[in-house]
Amino acid sequence: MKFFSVALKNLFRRRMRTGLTLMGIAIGIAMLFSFMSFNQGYQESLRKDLRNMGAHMLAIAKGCPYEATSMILHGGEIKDYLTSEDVERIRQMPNVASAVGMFMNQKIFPHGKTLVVYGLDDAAFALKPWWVVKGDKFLDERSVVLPEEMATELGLSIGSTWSMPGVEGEFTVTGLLEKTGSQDDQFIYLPLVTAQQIFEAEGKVTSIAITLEDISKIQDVVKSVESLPDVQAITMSQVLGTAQTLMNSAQAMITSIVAIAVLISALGVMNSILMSVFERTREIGMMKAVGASQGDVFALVWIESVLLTLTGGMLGIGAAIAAGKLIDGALRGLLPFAPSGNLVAFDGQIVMVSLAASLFLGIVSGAYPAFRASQLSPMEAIRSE
Amino acid sequence: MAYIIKAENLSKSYKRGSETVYALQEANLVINAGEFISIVGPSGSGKTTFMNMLGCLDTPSSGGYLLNGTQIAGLKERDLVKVRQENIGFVFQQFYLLPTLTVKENVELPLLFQNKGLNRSKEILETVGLSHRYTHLPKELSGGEMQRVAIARALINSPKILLADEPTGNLDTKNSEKVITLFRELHRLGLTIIMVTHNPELARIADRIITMTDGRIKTA
Ligand SMILES: Nc1ncnc2c1ncn2[C@@H]1O[C@H](COP(=O)(O)OP(=O)(O)O)[C@@H](O)[C@H]1O
Ligand SMILES: [Mg+2]
Repeated sequence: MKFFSVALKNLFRRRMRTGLTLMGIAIGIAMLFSFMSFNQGYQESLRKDLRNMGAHMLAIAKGCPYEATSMILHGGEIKDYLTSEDVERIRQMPNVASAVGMFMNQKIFPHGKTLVVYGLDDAAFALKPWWVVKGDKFLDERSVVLPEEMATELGLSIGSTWSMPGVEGEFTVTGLLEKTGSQDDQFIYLPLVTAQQIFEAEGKVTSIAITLEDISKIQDVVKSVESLPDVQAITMSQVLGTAQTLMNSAQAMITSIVAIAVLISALGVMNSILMSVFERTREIGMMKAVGASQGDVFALVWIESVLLTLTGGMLGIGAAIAAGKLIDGALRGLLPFAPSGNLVAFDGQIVMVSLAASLFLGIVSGAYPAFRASQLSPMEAIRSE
Repeated sequence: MAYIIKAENLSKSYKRGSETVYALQEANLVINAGEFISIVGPSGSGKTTFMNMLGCLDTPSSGGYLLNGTQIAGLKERDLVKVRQENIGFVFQQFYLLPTLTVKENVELPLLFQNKGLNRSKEILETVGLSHRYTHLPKELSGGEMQRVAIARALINSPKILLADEPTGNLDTKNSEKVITLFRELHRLGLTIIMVTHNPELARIADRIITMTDGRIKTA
């Protein structure tokens, strides 16, 4: 027989109380775990989104930088345009390897979805060398390339005809973009000129993707680009920073909620263990009378507490993993800005940190009750009439 | 004859408001190794206080207590634990078995705190006549059986002295007799036994009866 089994058996004595305390710990640790997974997932997805841009920086018309950030990553409607001349000028600038004008706008489709339409030319395709397009890119002005999943959903395949609401004539699906796992899987791709015509913006672009010959010269290029009238340059690190700024207040709120949940569950453990110590005053006295030292009693109670929080922690981690998809969805609704990809991503390290936190909770919240128990007088056992 | 216990002017006082109450007052007593002593006296006369002192659960306010040659008065809790582990077996009126542990585990509980590497739980349970209850839980036992499990627990560390504070207080006559018969058997095997009881008939079985009143030992 071991201290461990005595402690464990004692926890089974008050199943209801133990169960409720476990639940408190499980909730606290689940929140902590989800929060850490979210932080990790968010950062990863954001970086991935940015890598998928395929450019070092963008030039857009002057406007709200927050809106621009979301636009750049997810698409949407940009009201202020740049022109083909801007593209040309930037292309001539020193250190610029390529400047590609892109056109982006959105349309509401009959099934109620707002889809982002992207106008691309061959140079734009060149920015995404990892794209695998089945069939052909664009064969003529009436070609469309669709993400494979979207095409399947719409019942379309290569050679199918497709029409766009409010646009005369039909398009032919010439190519299917294989799943990229990024935001690119949600756009409709048209030839640049066609897109410009549809939205009555001939010769205009919404953004210019710029790649550099030497990334260390990025600040020089930013200066040159911004010397053009009504043009602002956005570097990828700025996008990252803006997204982070948008996140900070949400994160601060979540952090305090998680901290409160963990604190409450720790108090729950302390309360539960303390109650069980008081109920067992005589038993503890008996143990001392039959040879338990203060340290022995301390250890017994402490082990109980740690067992409780470790078990609760494991339950919480399990629940958080199981509910990962739900949490992803809920967070997406709450956040001011969410990248595509998994918002919630965990790894072994997060599991270990959560377990360590559970252990720490047990150690901290069990210490006081264990101390109280260790100080109980053995006479209590005998003086019980 | 070699004494195992020697109490000299042993006193225990409590402050109750401004006045000092003596639960035990200048007790002098010598007990020889192997003796069977019973302590009687009215409620509140200091029997339990005296037992706690003898069992090293409590330290005296004044006076001296030699146990097996060691002066107990003035020892720290850490040292008292050792003295208890090596010398004392305790039996309580209320048994105090852990409800979550089996009979065997309850008997072996003291080994958790002081493992001598020698587990005689089987043998001891046979002595108390409960080897058939090995894997039972306390709630499945009668009061008499529970008390005999508690006695087995008190014996697991091979103590020199068995202290029992009203061990039959919660038992009917038949079970009380069983416990006393067991004590007599243990006494015959050489154990020193000190037992507090209300029952004068049971008290008479001991070698010597000590009577207490108002915190004092009455000299016969
Ligand atoms: N912790 C204490 N504080 C104050 N008085 C106490 C304490 N313990 C015992 N006493 C008093 O000491 C006296 C003797 O008590 P006790 O030894 O329990 O007697 P008995 O066991 O013979 O009934 C009683 O008057 C009791 O109230
Ligand atoms: Mg008493």
